[in-house]
Formats: sequence, C-alpha cells, structure tokens
Amino acid sequence: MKVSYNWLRELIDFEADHAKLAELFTMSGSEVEAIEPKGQEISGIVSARILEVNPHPNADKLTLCLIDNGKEKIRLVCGAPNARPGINVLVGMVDSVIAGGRRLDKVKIRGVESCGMILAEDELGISGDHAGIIELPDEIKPGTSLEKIAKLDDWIYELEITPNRPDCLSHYGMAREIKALLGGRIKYPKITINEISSPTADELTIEIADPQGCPRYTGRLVSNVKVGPSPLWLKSRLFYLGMRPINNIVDITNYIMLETGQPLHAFDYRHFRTKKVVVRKAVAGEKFITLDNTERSLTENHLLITDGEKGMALAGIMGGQNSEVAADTKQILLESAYFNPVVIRYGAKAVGLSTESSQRFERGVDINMAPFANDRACQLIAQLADGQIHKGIIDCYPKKFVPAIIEFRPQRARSLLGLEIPNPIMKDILNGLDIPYTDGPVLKITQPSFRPDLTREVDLIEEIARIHGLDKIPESYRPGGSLLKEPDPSFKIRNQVRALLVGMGFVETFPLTLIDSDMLKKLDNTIEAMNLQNPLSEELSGLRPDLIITMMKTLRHNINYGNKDIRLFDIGTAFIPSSETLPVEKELLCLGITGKTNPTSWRNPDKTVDFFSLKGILETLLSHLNINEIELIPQNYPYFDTDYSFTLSGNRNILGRMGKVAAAVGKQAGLKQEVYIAELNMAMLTSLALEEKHFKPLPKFPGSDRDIALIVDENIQAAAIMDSIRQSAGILLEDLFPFDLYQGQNIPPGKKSIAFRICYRCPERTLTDDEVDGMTKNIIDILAREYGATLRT
Amino acid sequence: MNDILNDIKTFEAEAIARLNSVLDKQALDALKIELLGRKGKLADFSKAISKVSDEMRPQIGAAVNRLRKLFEEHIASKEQTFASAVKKQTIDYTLPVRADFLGHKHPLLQTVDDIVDIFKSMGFEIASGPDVETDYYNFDALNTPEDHPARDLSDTFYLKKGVLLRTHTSPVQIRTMEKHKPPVRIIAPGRCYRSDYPDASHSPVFYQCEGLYVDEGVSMADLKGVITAFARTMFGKDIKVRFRPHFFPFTEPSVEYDFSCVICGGKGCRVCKNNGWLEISGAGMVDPEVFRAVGYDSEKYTGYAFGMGVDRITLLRYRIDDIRLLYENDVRFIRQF
Ligand SMILES: [Zn+2]
Repeated sequence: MKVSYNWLRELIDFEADHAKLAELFTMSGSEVEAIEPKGQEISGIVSARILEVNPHPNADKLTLCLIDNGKEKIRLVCGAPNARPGINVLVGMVDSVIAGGRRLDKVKIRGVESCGMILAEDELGISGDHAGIIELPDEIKPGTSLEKIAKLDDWIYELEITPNRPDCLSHYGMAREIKALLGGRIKYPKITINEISSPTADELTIEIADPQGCPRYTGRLVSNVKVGPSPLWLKSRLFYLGMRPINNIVDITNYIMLETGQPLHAFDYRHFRTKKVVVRKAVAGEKFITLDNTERSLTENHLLITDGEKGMALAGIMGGQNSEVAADTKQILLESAYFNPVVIRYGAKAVGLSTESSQRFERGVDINMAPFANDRACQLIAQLADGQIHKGIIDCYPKKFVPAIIEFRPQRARSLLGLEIPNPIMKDILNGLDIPYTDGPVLKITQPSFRPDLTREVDLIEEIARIHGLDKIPESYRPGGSLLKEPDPSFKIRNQVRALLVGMGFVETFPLTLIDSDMLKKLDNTIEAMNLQNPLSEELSGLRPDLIITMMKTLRHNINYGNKDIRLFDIGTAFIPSSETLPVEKELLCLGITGKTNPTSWRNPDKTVDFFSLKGILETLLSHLNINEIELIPQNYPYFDTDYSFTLSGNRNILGRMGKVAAAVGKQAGLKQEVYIAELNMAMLTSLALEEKHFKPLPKFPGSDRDIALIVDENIQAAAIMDSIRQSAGILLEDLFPFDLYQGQNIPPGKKSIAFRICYRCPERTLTDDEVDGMTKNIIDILAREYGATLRT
Repeated sequence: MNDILNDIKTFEAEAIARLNSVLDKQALDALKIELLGRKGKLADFSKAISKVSDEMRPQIGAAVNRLRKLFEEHIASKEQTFASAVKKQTIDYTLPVRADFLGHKHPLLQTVDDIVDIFKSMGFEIASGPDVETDYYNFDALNTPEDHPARDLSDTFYLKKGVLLRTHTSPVQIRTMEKHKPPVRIIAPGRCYRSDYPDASHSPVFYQCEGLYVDEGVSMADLKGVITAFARTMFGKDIKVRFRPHFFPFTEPSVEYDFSCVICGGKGCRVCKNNGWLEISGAGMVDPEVFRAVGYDSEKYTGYAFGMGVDRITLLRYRIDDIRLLYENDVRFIRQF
C-alpha cells in the first residue's frame, strides 16, 4: 500500500524525517519497500490568467496566449484545446523546473518565441493527463505561487502490509502506528454536516437479506451535486498514491478510503427506481455488468447490492455500469458498509478482480468506521461538489461486532519474549495503539473493532514486542545436547557415501525432482510417474519415479556443453505411486559415468569407460561400506541394453540395478555418448553398512601364492570356476582373483585364457611348498574335470 | 595503513621470484645483501613501523619478521643446492600428471552440511519428512486458514485433492511433535516446491531448513541467540542479526530476520539494495494453535521455529547470481566449490 508522508504529518505531529519514519515503520512490521520522492524538483511555478488567445501564424493546432502572471504580461505558445481567455492557469517561466527535473528555457515554436509554458497535469507529475492545461478556480489571483495552491512535494512510501493488519491500509491506521511508536495525538478531521431538511429515510430504505455477508450497511443521499474535476490537491494526492483521478465524487470516495481505510461507493441514485437498497446473495448464473464494462457471471456466493430488482454493485468489489456516477448525475447514494471478508475474498477471486476496495474488505475493515466515513465523505462532497446532504444517515447494523475480551498477563509477555519490560511501558504501548483495557495484575483487554487480528494473549504480546522494538530483545544462549533419543542413521551413511564417491572422482548433482512425464513414458513405459494437477510446463509435469531419468537429463546437459568425461552421482528421493494417500518416497543413490576412464594425460591410457568400469566402482564403494559378495543377476530393465542389464546384490540382499543405457533410450533421451548407470537403494545400503564390524587378528604366518592360467570354453563364467576353487581349497584359501583374461592369437577359437592368483594361508603354521603344490594340483584336476579346463603353457 | 601491508606483499612476491631464479652462488650472495642487509628493503619496512599507528604496529612487525624467516629459509636451501654438486635430473619432474578426475560435492549440499553441523553443535537433531504432503500437515496443522492464498493452485503444486508438494519444511515440525513429547529440538533440511517459473531468483524446487525448539520457558531471546550464533558461525563473527516484525499463521509473534550484508559488511551494495541488510527468512514463537494441533500444552510449553532458505545462503556465500545454476548441475559449475 502507498502512504504519503505529508498526509501523515497533517494527521499527527511527530519528529522523524522521511527516512527515519521509514525505518520505524519497517522495524515495527510495516515494511517500507520503496520511498519515492514526489514533486520536489518542481520550482518557480505560478498562477496566471489568460487574457487573449490568438492563432499561431504557422500552425493550426497552436495558439498564442497573452497571459498575466501577476508581474508582467507575456505571450506564450500553447497547444491546449481548452486555452481560452479568462481562465486561470499555471505557468512556468524561463528557469522554472517542471516534473522530471526539466528546466524551462526560451524556445522557438514554429517560428514564434515562447518564454515559458502553460502547464498540463502531467507536467506537474500529478497525473498522466496531457489533454489540456490545468484550469484553476477563479478566485486564485495571478502570481500565486504553486506551493500556496497545492503542496506537491511529498515522499510516498510503498508499504508491505501483512495480511493480518487491515488497519494499516489507511492513513489513520499508519498515524496510529506513529502514535504508538513516537507518542502524540491524532488530529482527526472535525466533521460538521449541514443537512437539508428533507430526511434520507423518505427516499431510501435499506434491507439486508444476508446479514452474514453484510453485517452493516450505511447509506446517505446527497442531492444537487455538481460532478466535475477535483481540485489540484485532491488529484495530486490520489495520483501519488497510485489512483487515477476520475471526478470529484469518485475521487472523494477514494480519498476517504485512503484516509480511513473504509471503502465507499457512490451510486447515481436516479437508477434506483424502487428507492431502496437490498443486499442479497446473487443467484447462480446471474449476469452483472461491472463498471469496467465487463459482463460477470456470478455464483450464489457473491453478494450483490440491488435496488430490489436489479443488481447495482458487486458488493465490496466493483460498482455496476448501470449506476455509475456520470457528468449529469444529480443525486447520489453514498454507501459505507462492512462486508464479510471471506465472502469478498471468494467473490473477487471467482470473477478474477482485485480492487482497492476488495483488498480492504478481504482483510477486514473496521466495522465501526462505516458511519464516520460516510459522514466524512458527505462533508467533502458538500464542500467540493456543492452537494446537499439529506437529513440523517441510515445505518442498518443487524450483526453487531462482539469484541474479544482477553486476559493479558504481563509476566507471560516477559517470559515469552525473554525481555524484562516493565508493566507501565506495556500499558503505554496499549494506549498508543488505542487498545482499551482495565487495569489489574492481569489486564482485561477489549479487542478494538479495527484489529481483527487481536483475539488472544499471544497476539497482544506480539504488539508489545513490535512496538517496544525487537532490537531490545536480548540474545540468550541455552546450552543443550540432543533431545531426540533415536537419531536417524541414514544421515551418517549418506555422508559416508558422498565422501567416498567424491574421493573416487564423482561430482555430486542435485537435480530438480520434477520431470517430463511424457518423456518418461517414451523411455520406460512400464513405470508410472505421479503427475502434478497444475504443472508449470510439460518439462516439469511429474515427480521422478526413479533417479535414472534425472541422471540422464543431467548427463545430457553436460555432454551437450562439452563436459564429456564425467562421473556423476545423485542421492535423492524417488516417488513411487501408491494406493495410500501419499506415495512411497524412497531414497536412492544413482551413479552415471561416461567418456574417458581418466583425465586425458600423457600418463593415462586413452580408454573409454565400459561396463566393468562401473562394476569396479561399485565394488570399491560397496566394499568400503562393508558390503561384499557382489553379484549381478541378469534382468531386463527397459532403460538398459539387454546385454548389460542387471540386478545388483551384495551380502545376498538386492541393492539395486545397473547397466548400459540402451541405444534407443539414449537416443530418445538426447545422449550423444554411451553411458553406464547404476541405481541403489540407500535404505538397504544403510542397513548393511551399519552392521557391526569385528576385529580379525592379523596373520602370524606367511602365506603362499600360486598362479594358474587356464584355457576354457569362452562361455564358462569366472564365478563358476572360482566357486570350484573355493570349495576345493577350503579354509586355507585366503584370497582369489582373476589377473589376466585373454582371447586371440594362440588360443583356439571359442576358448578363452583366464588366469587366477590363488592365495593360501594357514593361521596356525607356515604351509609347506608340497602342501600348496598339492592343493593347486588338486584344483587343476577338478577344473579339468568340471570345465574341461587345460593349463595354458 | 593497508598500503604498507600491500607493499610488503608485493615485495614478497618479487623477492621470492628472484630467489627462485638465482643461478649461482655469486648472484645469491648479492641478493642476500639486498634483501636482508642493514640497508636492505626489509630494513626499510622495519623503519616504517615507527610511523604507523599503534594498532597497526604489531601486524606490520609480524609481517616483516615472517618475511625475514622466509627469505632466510629460501637462501639456506639455495646455498645448500649450490654447495652440493647436483646430479643432473634424469626425470622431467615438471610434467603435470592429471592422474584422476576431481570429485566435488554440490555447493547447495555443502551449505546444507555446514548448516546442519552448526545446529548439531548446538544440540539440534536432524529430522525429516516427505516431499509429498497432505494439506493437513502443510497447512491445517500450521494454522493456515482454509482460504489462505498460499493454498491456491497458483502457489502450490497439487497431485490430487488434499495432496501436494510441501511448500515449506514446516510440516516436519508437526510430524516431529506428533511423535515426540517435549522437549524437542530439531533441524529439518529438505526440498520444497512452489509454483514459480524458473528465473534468476526463483526455482519451482528449492531447499529449506527448518528449526524447532520446544521446551518449558523457551523465549524469543533464545531464538535470537540461536539465529545470531548461526549467523556468526556461518558468515563470520562480525555479522549482525536483525529481527523485523512479520506475520506467519504458525508463529506468534512472528519475525523476519536479516543478516548484515555479507558482501559489503553493511555499508550498502547492489546485493543488499544499499540498505546493508539481507533478508534471510522467517521465524517466531510457535503459535498456540500449532501446539493444540499436536496436543502440546501451550501454557506449559513454549517454543520457537525458524526457516532458512538454503538456496539464498548458498548464492550469498559463493556470490552466485542465478539460482538455476544450482539445479542445472553443470560440472564446470560444481567443480568450482
Ligand atoms: Zn551489501
């Protein structure tokens, strides 16, 4: 909301310049988002009277005006259609400064010299209007300085008012904040209304059919108004505060709204044929044309101001086109009402409108302000539009405001805030905020009608804190250890995995969990993602059901940007649809590798990663986590190439899957390189990694190694051979691994050469060569029998 | 005064470069006199000490002494080299190796690690909750009215009626309090979602950390203490914390808290929009309505809660100017941290 510094100064005396006041507002909860200087550059503008208007010799649309500026008579070139002899105008002479900081100079316009200009509103920055020059009232003498006609210099604050503080949406409300912060008294305008003898009640009855939606409605009639432009001060004030001046009647209603916070509406009363106001719910499907000339289709939740027959205004939101104040309007009905915030919020949203009026009603206006604001507006209408006010206000108030009565314990405030604030200061703050109370050890506080947010003790404690100043609250340090007795172990293991992977050259990624659900279907139609009802775009339309889909996207981005040799990982949530209310959220670890096995260097082999690169990485990682006995079980996953698609298990538990992204999938996903991906279940890793570790004594006796190179059929798996070796060697086998694999020259087709190192050790004694050779011979015999293996010589 | 320190720094760089390129004993001896001699450059700096202010004196003195030691070590090592007849090197030890890829943690998650560490050291326990939430946990239990705009489709992603992507980590407060009797002291990091089109400062997925402490006698002063302790550990001991009144449905009183600008130290710059303060997040005392929802006695227990935008803190600490970089995962970006 916008607030004028000068207007506040008119309402209350205080000592704070515009910058200091802004800080006070921000630090008490009304954040000043911007401060805009207005009209401060303008200087040297005076009033003048046009004496003669003559045609410009060289231009049809221009005129030469002879003006009297109080000091001298001079000729100025003017282009305004409303320039005519006898009117009072504002002029800037040479060296005067107009809005935007432009200094006026002697200029030649179409061959004629002009020593100044007659000003339009935009040139003073008080509206965007350049249609004609400003016309001043007749009584202003030529040569009167602009400052005496309208005070245009000001500071305008843009405030962020939190939704709980409707009272701050007015100058009265912000003046009250100043009063609470700095002391002083608010100078509310004195209202004196000269009513004519004709009673309002003779010509107006008000009927509220929906007291829930409209607890209070006041109306006054003003006759014989002269609709016309508003005076300069009023126009400029509205314009500075972000409202477009329209005519004196509408401008006054807006002005009073900015002053009091009470939205008002002026109807042209001649259109109320029945001479009554009926406030009722709209009928579903009822059509109504608002004054922005748009037909609105209403629901039964809208509230409508009617004359008993047809709609006249969409209550609290916008007036109707059929009763808009026009140039020839003579009699107006002035509405000042209280509408239910929920009804207005719903109604405004349903028709897609948000107006100054609806924004205030939505948050809750002061129900007791309605009659005052009505009177105040009538007073101004009498002053500025010559209106005659009918006798009496009609105040229909079927649903009275019931204030909350709150018990306030000063000690509770002190302990909740951790602040030693004495009782008298708290009472000063309550007084400053116009919050009434009866004194005692516990204060009995009556909720003011302008503060719908104050219903509980804790709400009042907040008032004390924010006005006293949050900066006065000390910092206290409570020592303390962990209070939950069951810490979640997953954090520890997750961090261990992250550290290991980073050490192995992996870059940690953190992708969006939102995916393109259509793309997912193209890549793997066997899984279903949960879709958003209101996605921002196709690209972000669902929740990832696995981490492979996002890993492929991250790989694609990097490969496309030239990062071709990379190892990436992602630990995060996958969302699996479920019949329960919420999906199953699974924490997974995803690894993705592509490109070279090492950075390009004179020292590194120039090799590209393959399936075994990934398997090797997994072996290292898992072994660090105390997970061994890694097994791959062939299984088809749609993401993976059928030759390289496996379920991964460790310590006889399923850990996840790994494979090479299938060519078709990679193409669809935009991957320009071969990539290998593994996806593991973090919960399983965590539970396996958390198994207790127990010390094994270090060997006291030396071990013996034997290497055997075998030639076997190429489709015999290493695991089978190794199983046989293990069985045969029994407990004396300490370690066993393949160290060479070869096919090609000297090896018959369909065969492969595979060499194992067999490490024997006995914990109790040194094994003799004979023993070791005997066991090895035995192994070779068994392998020959079981697999037809021969020794490679 | 910093001029002298700068001069010393420049001098150090030059001198070390010259020492490294000295080729024989003779040149080394000359340089030794130039650097360490009574009329040498170091002696000049020593003399200048008497002219500087009292507070700068120890600093400059220490810098000069450090340099003296450094030069002496370099000279000694050179002297030894020249003394022993050096065998010609048979390997080109200047060859860079580039053996392995460099792994890196993601900057956002590094920030989470740091935040969590700081709060753990203050006795907070890590807690977590699901990304997909019911409107009960995300809104109702947090005292958010039925017609609150945050519930709109334009603000919140919905999966179906009543099921949504959490818009903050505050539901973890509720889930934790439902499960545990007070006292409770948790920090809950996690992804959150809001229907914002991605741009330099918005992301539909972002990262928050929630803090909650409920016990007998917890006060706003405790909240201020914990936030201040965090700010100073994270950004340095000179950081100031400012509370501004604000409004949230689930805290009362509610505040927004600011840190003095970590870029300009509070003098005013582009990042803090020239006001010296950076808006970090919201906090406050847990609203009695929230306690009611989880069955805590709000007369007996009080508590504070705070949020923390981890993205924002990450952007600030690394001076990153576009939040999208955090979620794009370009390795050239991640490897910078
Ligand atoms: Zn700054």
